[in-house]
This record gives sequence, structure tokens and C-alpha cells, in this order.
Amino acid sequence: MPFLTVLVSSELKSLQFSRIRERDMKPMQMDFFADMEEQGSTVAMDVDDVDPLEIFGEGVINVDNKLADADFFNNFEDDFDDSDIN
Amino acid sequence: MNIVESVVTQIQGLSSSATDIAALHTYLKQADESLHTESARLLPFLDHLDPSIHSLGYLYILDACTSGPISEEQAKTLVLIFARFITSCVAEQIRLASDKFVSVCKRFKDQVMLLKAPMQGVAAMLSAVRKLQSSSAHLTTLHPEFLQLCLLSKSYKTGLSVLEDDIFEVDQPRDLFLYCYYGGMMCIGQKRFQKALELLHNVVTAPMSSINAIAVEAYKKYILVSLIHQGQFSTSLPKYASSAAQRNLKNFCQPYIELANSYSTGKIAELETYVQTSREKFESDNNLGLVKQVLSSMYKRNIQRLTQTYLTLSLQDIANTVQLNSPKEAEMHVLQMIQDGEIYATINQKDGMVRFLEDPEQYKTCEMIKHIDSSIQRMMELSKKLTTMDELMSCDPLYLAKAGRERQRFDFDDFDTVPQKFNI
Repeated sequence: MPFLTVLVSSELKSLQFSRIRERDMKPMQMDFFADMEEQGSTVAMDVDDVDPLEIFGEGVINVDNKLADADFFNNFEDDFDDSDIN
Repeated sequence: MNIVESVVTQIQGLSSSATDIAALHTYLKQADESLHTESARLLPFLDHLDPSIHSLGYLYILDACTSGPISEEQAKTLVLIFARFITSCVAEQIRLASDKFVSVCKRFKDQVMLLKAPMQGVAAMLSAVRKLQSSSAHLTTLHPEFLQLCLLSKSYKTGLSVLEDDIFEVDQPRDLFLYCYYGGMMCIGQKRFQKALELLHNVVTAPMSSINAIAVEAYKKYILVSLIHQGQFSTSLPKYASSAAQRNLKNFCQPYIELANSYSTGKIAELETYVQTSREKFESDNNLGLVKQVLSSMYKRNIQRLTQTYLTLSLQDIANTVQLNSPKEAEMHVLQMIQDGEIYATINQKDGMVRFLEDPEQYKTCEMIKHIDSSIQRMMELSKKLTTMDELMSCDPLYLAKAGRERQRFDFDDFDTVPQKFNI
């Protein structure tokens, strides 16, 4: 199972908000209570419906048919025809 | 003494210690432009240098004298010089000028392609990859170049040696796309379909802001390999796939999606008809060979289905049920499947009967225990690695800045055991 670079970044994006909650970045006690008084209600953040990549500014969708890296080398012989072997 | 002679003298004099090399590097960076202006007369000066001792200097001169257009005739000579340099150079020296080394290696690859001799480049390019890497976990921009040469020269086994490494560090996203795509093709060539699926899956689900041609081609092969190896395919991508992929990939791969739909009916005649209709499309994508493997895999699936219902069955009955032409063909399929471990069966050639057997694996042999144990060890290592990467990313200022901008200050869990109003 290689390529954890990609897998990790993807997994982390789906865990982003829960991880930030758990870390030591919670506001100071005094600040916490002060802000509480100002808040009318709290709303649980629903992250599951949000596309993580859109949050990171990667959600600009190319809706036309232009493909990136269209010039990549893919001119290989079709070597996967097993009927040649038998 | 003119500039070239002066450079050669400096290279010869300053290649023995790390301090000298550092000084040489500074000197060469300043002299680089002058070397390029003298490119036409540089080649003979390489004979005054030993690539295994004067690697850095050799690199600069080789780069300068080959930076212009190269004819096929010149390539015949240069290819040998490039290969000798790449295989004998010192890794510590060339890493000081890694961009230049990459340019030289890519130029070498272009030359073997010009000579239509990709095999000539395989060994040297593998050496280049290993020298450029800071560790086996580092994916360099030379990895895809190497795999491309392996595919062109059908050196699948040599390419697989690089694919066994776990990758945790990537220079450019495009390198990862190409590495996984070419690597997937290499695994298909070796019939390592599970690994091919993993690699192709990585291309398809990798982050991309706009739909990528490499991902489109990878998706086509991913569909075909899924059908061959698993007998099924689902169009839904995992949640972590980019929205560009989720929304656009299917549009570029319609004939393949329809092939998968036809496959799911289990009707070989229908599948054959569809393949004939879209043959041109598959051929133009160089995927017809794989599509034919999809076709023959359907016979296998249908035979496998029989093992769930019958204990014994005649070859004639197998041929009739699975729509093969004769009992002989059925026998060939069954034999191949037994050999590949896809079914457990015996064939009685006297009466033409096939007896389907249970999987004999009891999961209690020493080999199986070793296998399970090594898998557990690997999972534990990967888990540790994942935790470390998670911790590093959690502290990354760029990540925090972007994530922090989008989150609300508090969410429900922060108030779990705290009353709404609190008097201090």
C-alpha cells in the first residue's frame, strides 16, 4: 500500500475539522466564556457535505472539455492482448 | 588560458573533498553561461575528465555541450557518453545540481527515443533514479521517464523493482500521476491486477483542480482491470476524490462505462456485440487487448458462478451454460483457472466430468502465519507513518491558515459539558 502522501492528504482533509477541535488550540478559558455570552446558539459544523477540496480553493471546476496534461506520452503498443499468446 | 580550459583545470583541481566540491559548485554556477556560449567545442574536453571523480564538473560540461538540437547521427555517440556518465557519476556531487542532472537525464531519454532503442536507456535511467532520490520514499521526476522506457522496451520486471518502494515524498504532482499510470500499466503487463488497481486508483483519486488527461486514461484502464480482476465495477468514486474527477471523469469514459454495464448482465453475446460496435474506440485508445481480456474474464466469472451451485458438472454442460463452443474449450478454461488459483477443481478426462472442490487453505500453516504476521507488521509501520504525517500536517502553517479560515470558531462538541451561561 504505497502513496500515503496522496492517501494521507485526502484522509486528513476529511478529518480536518475534528482534528483541529482536538488539538491544543482551544481558546483560553476567559475568552471562551466571554464569547459564549455573545452567542445566541451554537450550530454543529456539518463538514460531511462540504467538499474538502473546495475549501482549499481547489474547487474551481473546469466545466469545458479541456484536459490538463493532454500532451503526456501515452503512445504505447497494445501489449495486453492475451490471444496472441495462446 | 581560455574559459573552457580554465573550467576544466578547476574541475580537475577541486573534486577531491566536500569543501572543494562546494567551492567548485559556486565557480561552475558563475561559469555556466560562458560554457553554454562555447557549447560547440566542449565535447572533446570531456575526455580530460573522469565522470566517477569529476561528476559535478562533468555534468556542467555535458549539459552545456548537449543543450542544442541533436541529430540522430550525433545521438549514436552521445548516448554512450550519457549512459557512462549516469552509471558512474557520484550521487553526492550530482545532487548539488539536481535540476541540471534531471535535464541531462531527460535529454538522454530523448536520444534513446530518437534512436528507437528504449532498451538502451533502461539500466542507466534506473541508476539515475537511485542517485537522484534522497531516499527510497522519494518520487523524483525521473521515475516516470524510467517507467516510460521500461514500458516501451517491455522491461516490465525491471520497472517493478521501483514500484515496490513506498512513496511518501513527491516533487511534482504530475510525476505522481505519470508514475502511477505507467506503473499501473506495468503491473497489468505482469498480470498483477490488484497492484495495478491500487496504482490506477491513486491517479483517479489524486487531488486535481481540473480534469487531467492522465486521470482520464487511468480511469479507462481502471474500469477494464476492475472487470478483469473483480468481475464488477462501481462508478461511484470515494469521497476523497476531487470534485473535478467526480463530475467529469465519467463523461470522458462513456464507452467504458457502457462496457461495464453490459458486463454486469452476465450475457456473453451482449458483451461481444458491444465490443464489436465500439471496437474502433477501444483500438484508438490502445485498450483493445485489455477489452479482450475483459471478454474472456466473463467466461471465467460464469464458470466461477457454477462452482457455487454444483459439486460436479460435465465439460459439455459447462460449455453449454457458459456459451463456449465445445467441451474442449471448456476444459482449457477450467484448466487455466485451476492453474491460476481461481477455482479448485479436478477434471476426469475419462468421463469429461469436473469436480469442484473447497479451498484447501486452512490458514494454519507456518507459511500462512508468517504471511499474516508480516502483513500485521506492515500495517503497524504504515499506521505509525500515517500518525507522524498527520501530526506534521496538523502543525503546518499553510494548512492551518486555510483550514482556520473556513471553520466556525466553535461547534457543538466544544460545549458538550458546559452550560450555556456561566457566571465567573
